[in-house]
Amino acid sequence: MLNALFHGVYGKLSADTGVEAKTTRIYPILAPENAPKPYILVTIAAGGTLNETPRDELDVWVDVKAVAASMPEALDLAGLIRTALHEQDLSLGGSWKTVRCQHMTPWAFQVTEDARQYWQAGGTYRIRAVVEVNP
Amino acid sequence: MSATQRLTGHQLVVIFQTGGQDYVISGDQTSLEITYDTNEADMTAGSDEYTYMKPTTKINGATMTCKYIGTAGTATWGNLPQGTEGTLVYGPEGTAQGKPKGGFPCYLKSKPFSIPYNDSIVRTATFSPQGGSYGTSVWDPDTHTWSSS
Repeated sequence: MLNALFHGVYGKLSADTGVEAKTTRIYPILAPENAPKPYILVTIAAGGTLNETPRDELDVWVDVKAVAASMPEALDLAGLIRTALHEQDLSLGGSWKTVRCQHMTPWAFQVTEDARQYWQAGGTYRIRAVVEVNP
Repeated sequence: MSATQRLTGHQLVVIFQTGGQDYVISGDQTSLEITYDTNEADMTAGSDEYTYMKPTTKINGATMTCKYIGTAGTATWGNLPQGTEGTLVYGPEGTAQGKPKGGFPCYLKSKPFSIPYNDSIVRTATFSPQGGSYGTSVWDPDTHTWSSS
């Protein structure tokens, strides 16, 4: 299930020409140490399995953020991420099918670690998906 | 009765039998509401201190709420237009031999949709009773069970 979510987000972002022009570095959870900026991080923020019907169904909130050397660059990439994901059909893999992928909450902040600045901007995306068993 | 006996609806199977076919209509349901009710006649006399109600005919009914699955539901719901007559049977714990069985002759009275902008599309199917005989075509899950056949 987690694989399907990451697969879907990664697939959409890596296939987007706007995002690809800025970076091809898209990582789950954490970037490798000293990864060149900008890059994109994908993490699970909230949600889970719905358990509303016998059919397996997800309603998961995923954080997708750009980490860049400057805030303008981070904001620019965050906008491209939103264009690539908001109201788009993600290919999740397996029998998982996207019901809806929506941008929900934007955010931007800065972190300084070891005298290095990490400008971050992104959004929370709500991804609803279902296991489709019928043809 | 043991206090540890608790069930959820995850094993529910609902079948609508019509035209010699069994249509399994469970699988995307969020709830099944069953009514076993009784009509009554007011037998209160003018001199009575309290109302006296006499049971008359019994009345069964069902409403199932489920998520809409688009064309994937055509083979099932497409064969059950409103007004379809048949028998609704259900097993709260599935259909294995010995498990509780409920059901009654009925027709599909309505199957409206609710289509919110940003939530699941939901269908509500309502079944109205068409007579029957207790133990023969009307089954009470408190009494009747699925047979092996």
